[in-house]
Amino acid sequence: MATIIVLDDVYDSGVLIGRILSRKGHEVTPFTEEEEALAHIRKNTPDLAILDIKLKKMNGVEVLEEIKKISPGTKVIMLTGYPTLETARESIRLGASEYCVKPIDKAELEEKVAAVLND
Amino acid sequence: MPLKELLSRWTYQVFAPGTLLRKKYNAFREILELDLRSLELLASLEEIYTGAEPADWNRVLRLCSELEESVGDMARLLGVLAPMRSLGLEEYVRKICFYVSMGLDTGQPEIGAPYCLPQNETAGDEALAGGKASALGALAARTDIPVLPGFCVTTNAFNYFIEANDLRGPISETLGTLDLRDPKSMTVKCESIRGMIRQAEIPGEIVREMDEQLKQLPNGLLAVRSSAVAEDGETSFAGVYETMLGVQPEHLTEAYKRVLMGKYNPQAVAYRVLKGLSDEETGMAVFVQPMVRAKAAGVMYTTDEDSTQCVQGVATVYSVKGAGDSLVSGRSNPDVFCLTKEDIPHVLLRPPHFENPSSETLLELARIAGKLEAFFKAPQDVEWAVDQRNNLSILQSRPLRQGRAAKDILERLPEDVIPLAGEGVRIASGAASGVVLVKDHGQVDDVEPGTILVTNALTPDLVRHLDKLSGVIANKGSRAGHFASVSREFGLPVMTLDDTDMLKDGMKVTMDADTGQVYPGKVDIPGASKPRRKAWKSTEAAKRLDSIMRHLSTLNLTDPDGDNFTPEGCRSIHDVIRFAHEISLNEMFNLVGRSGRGLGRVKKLTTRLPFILYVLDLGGGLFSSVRDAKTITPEDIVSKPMWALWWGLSKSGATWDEKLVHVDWEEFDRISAGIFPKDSKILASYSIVAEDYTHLLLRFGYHFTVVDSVCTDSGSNHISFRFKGGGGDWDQRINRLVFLRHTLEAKGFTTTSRGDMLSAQFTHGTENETRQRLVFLGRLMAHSRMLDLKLPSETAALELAEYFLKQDRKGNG
Repeated sequence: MATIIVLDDVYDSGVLIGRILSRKGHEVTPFTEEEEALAHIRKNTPDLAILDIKLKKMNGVEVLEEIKKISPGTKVIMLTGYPTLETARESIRLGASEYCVKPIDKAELEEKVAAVLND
Repeated sequence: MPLKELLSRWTYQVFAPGTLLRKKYNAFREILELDLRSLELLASLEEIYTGAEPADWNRVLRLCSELEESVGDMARLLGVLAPMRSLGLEEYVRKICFYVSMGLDTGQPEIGAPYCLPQNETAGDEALAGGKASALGALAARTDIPVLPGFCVTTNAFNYFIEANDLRGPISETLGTLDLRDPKSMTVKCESIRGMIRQAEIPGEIVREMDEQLKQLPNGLLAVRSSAVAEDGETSFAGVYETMLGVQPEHLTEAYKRVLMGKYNPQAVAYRVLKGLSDEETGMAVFVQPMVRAKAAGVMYTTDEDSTQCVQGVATVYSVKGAGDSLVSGRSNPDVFCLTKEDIPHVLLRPPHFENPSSETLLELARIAGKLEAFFKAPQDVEWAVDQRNNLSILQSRPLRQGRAAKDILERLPEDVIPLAGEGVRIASGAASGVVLVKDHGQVDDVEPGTILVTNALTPDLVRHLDKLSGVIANKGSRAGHFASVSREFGLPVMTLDDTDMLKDGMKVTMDADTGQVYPGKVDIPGASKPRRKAWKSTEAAKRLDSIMRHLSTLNLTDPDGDNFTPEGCRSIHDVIRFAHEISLNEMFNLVGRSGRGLGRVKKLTTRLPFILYVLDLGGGLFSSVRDAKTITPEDIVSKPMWALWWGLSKSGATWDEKLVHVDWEEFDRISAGIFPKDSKILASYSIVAEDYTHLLLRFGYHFTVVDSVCTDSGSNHISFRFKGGGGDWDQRINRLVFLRHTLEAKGFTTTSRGDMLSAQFTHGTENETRQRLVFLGRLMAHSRMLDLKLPSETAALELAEYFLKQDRKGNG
């Protein structure tokens, strides 16, 4: 049972991920705006943040960097439909626990979240 | 006639060019070819993963790239053949391939300044200065241990040099084609890379920084040594790189290039590949020091576990006159001294009539031994030199690799065997059996796997043959030499023996380096360790492959009727291959069923056997009376090869003896209960037939077999049999292949296996010979439920094979 936030500029993506993970007993809050998500993290220090890379104003890697500054204990999973080796290397370097590629199915998402939370 | 040609002829007859149906059939044919190619590529990767085939990382990259292409094509073609069922597959393929490329990534080499670092700035920076220089820099900066001044040309300089001359592409391409089993071709390819470097220009920025640093060193000759990343750490690279001594300052750039060229010596490349390291991650820094005109030089082990010369636990110093490279390259025998390491050390042992080094030097070395161990917190393998004025310098210090001391020697002596020789001295621990090859150093060209090399000296060029040697016996050589060091790393037994005249070419012997004995024939040495097996599993390459194997080779889609038999369910390349093969066969049979162009329908074979078999007749494979029937019985089959296979499958009735050794019957019941519920479609299989031809895809549980055969009275008969997979872990799958290979070869098939895939061929037999083997194959496949059982060892697999062959002979009367 963990607290998780999802940041994706597409509302439905966040909702879908939220639905899958809530069924596993987690408390999931979806966001589409970067600043709102960061403000929430600053206040609540969730266990895990799932970040898309293509966002509205910033990109996911910049958000990752910010999260690691304001809430270093929050683990991060990157989730992108536009994977590149550069963003993968950079994300891992900045402290992301996983770099996942869309389309992500239920089983893979559940598995990766469980692995990261137990690490 | 191969399936491709048959289908080609058939599509031309039946389908007008340009129609959608013809397009789909072309897609189907291509998918079948890509299926075979992809499985072969996968099997090659699996061979590298298990250590069966040592290969440069570039070959792994190339195989993965080709696999990505062929699987990508399969997905695209499936979109033509079965668009609805393959929706989204291409996206999943891209995703899986991306995960693979993430796992393969070794990072981008850095090419920015600084290109040179003075020694006091190299401390602790192995990434930039390499192993050797960073260790020496640490000693210079933080201890009073005497270290020569110097500077380091960084790994970034090497990367920039490669980049500026556009060499990365050609080097990677050449490395990707290396075959460690072919020393001649290795020499040629390595020489071509060395030539590229020889002809390349050192960028001006690097030369300028070198000149600046040179001004800080005293005038005089220079020593230019390698200091590669991963050198002198866990991986020693001892002696395989290049060292240039007595270099004039104005020739420094040439010497620098020579040391860089040394990275691509055949022995350096072989060593690196066997250690599972990529070329990019072993960047070459170069260390430049003033040259010592040595009065004496040598090696020191700060804590020597070898009790053959000194008491265990003291420092041992190996010394030669002049420069130390004759010692470490195995060309001369050193004087040996044993020293304690207290504040006031004692010399416990010295050779008689020694001149060098002086007692003061020895005592200073002993004190330094203590300090080095305190600093690095581990025993050290140290190179030292003393100049004409008795000034001692430490040239190099790296972790000391040595095996545990042999415990009780008496426990190791096998009973009832008289040794051929018994006064060998251990250089590297271990025991091995093999075939003797007597060759002097410098004359060892090619070596068969399993060779015990008998040679005059232990020189570093022997490293090239490491993976094929079982052991080495030399007339002279020192524990302190480079080859000795590398042998210990790889767990290769090595010993010296004065008189080796009794060992002749071709003799089978067993050597025990720990007791110094050589025995005739293959002898079991009680208590001998086998360090070589663990060697590959712990390499960087093996670890990296381990992390991507689940994206490459793990099969998740085992049940075509399962919920996960969809594009979304594909988690690995193997899943995609399986999915595409299955769906395309399925789709093709459905299409033909609907075409009705004079061929009749696809028919379902009704039988009491637990099969669902769909049959497509290309012409003359079934009786014409059933042309329009929806279902057929085995009696309707005319096709000669199909009939023979069916005979074997259905008449294989011999019951299995319950007392079969090593078979886990509980497991058998559990598996058969799970796999074969009566109405399960898990066994849906397909057969294409013609009068003298069949192509059969038969499925049982966790594996499937493909049989392709021409059987006719007019020659050019063939049987091609392919088997892949099956349940269980890697070892079980390999044992299964042992069973299959043994039974098939006993029946005259030639077999090849790569990874967990077995191919077998039987060609040019008469009609009768071919038919008999088809019957045999049918029996083999009928019993293939046994192949999902645990075969815990190779021995069990061979026993099962013998048992099966015996039953087969009984069955034939």
